[in-house]
Amino acid sequence: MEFVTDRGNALLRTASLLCGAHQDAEDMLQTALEKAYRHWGRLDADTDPEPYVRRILVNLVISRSRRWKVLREIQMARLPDTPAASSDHAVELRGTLMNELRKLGPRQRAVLVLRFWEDLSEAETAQALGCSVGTVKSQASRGLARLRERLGTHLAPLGS
Amino acid sequence: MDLESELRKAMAEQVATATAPPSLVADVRRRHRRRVTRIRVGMGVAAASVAAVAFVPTYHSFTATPAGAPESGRPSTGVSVLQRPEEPPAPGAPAPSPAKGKPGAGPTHGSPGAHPSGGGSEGRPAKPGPPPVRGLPDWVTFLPDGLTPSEPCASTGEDGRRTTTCAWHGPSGWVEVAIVRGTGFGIGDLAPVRGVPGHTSVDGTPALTSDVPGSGRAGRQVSWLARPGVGVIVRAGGSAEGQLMRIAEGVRP
Repeated sequence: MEFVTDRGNALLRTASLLCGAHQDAEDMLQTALEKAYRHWGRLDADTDPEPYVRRILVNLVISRSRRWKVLREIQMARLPDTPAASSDHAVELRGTLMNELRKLGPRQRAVLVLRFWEDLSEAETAQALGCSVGTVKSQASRGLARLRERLGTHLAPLGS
Repeated sequence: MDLESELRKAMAEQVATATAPPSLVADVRRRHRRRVTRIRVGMGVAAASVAAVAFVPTYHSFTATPAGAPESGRPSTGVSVLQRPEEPPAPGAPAPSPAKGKPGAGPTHGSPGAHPSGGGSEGRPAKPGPPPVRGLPDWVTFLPDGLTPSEPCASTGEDGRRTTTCAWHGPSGWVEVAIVRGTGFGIGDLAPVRGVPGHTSVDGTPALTSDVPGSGRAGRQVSWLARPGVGVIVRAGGSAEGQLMRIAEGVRP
């Protein structure tokens, strides 16, 4: 369990970005760690267990999203704020960006989180998601395109 | 600045304050223990359910086995069927005897001496006898003490009849009870007789008595139709022969 002590924060942050809500992230992380703990013997002693746990985490989040899709329920970390004009454009943009990220599909969101938060390569992301590199590329491209589309005018100052 | 770098910053801001709780390891362990407990309880419940479901037919098969089967589901109270409340032996009252109101049911013999409850004829004091008979089929409620099952109850079927036969034997006597189920037979067709059959009644039902046919064993038999399609044959020899009618009246087909 030294691994949990060392990597707990990083894993929780990844889980939080994947889930979109901090409380759900804790629950998902506990479930993923329990699952990894159950099958800890399958791991080689000299292998880093983090990719294994991360893959469990991603699979759990995607599975949960599939189940919740039936309920059409969107989990939010807090009550949605009413939009108000902000003097700080960058802060407003990042808030909007995160809101739009939560609205993406679980697989697209996972690709973006793993690529841009975990800084994984396309091959590592494909391995974590259990899909091909081509799928990672297409999902990342579509995810970014959707964010650009939804952000609309917010991105104008960025020049993209 | 592009969307990708802005996304990185947004993510970093979003999770900047997120830290794993100190109890994360303990929470994971507790969750694992709960899961293991849940699985074990589930398996236990499933095993108990399977055992309960399997118990019913097993119990029925045991009750169909002859008396004295050690794995019988009957409670081992150590009390003879002679001592059951519904059939209390009348102290001093003579056991039904062929010589007293039941002509032809067999020669009068003394009690086999295996009657621990004092129900023997002539009011003789009770004396300890052989171990009581246990594990009787449901449809046999009385047997003299000291008998043990000869072999498991056997069922045979031919000519539209199905005959279930149970037999017991002891040091000085034997009993055989057969239930015949089917159609197209009368009281006279139930069992072959030797000599001229006598007429008697079992619980008010007309019955035929005679010596047991064949030269292999000596004894008496009584047969009657308990109801349409169900016939009963009770044979007894040796010391049990004197209690033939009592055994017959204890049969509940």
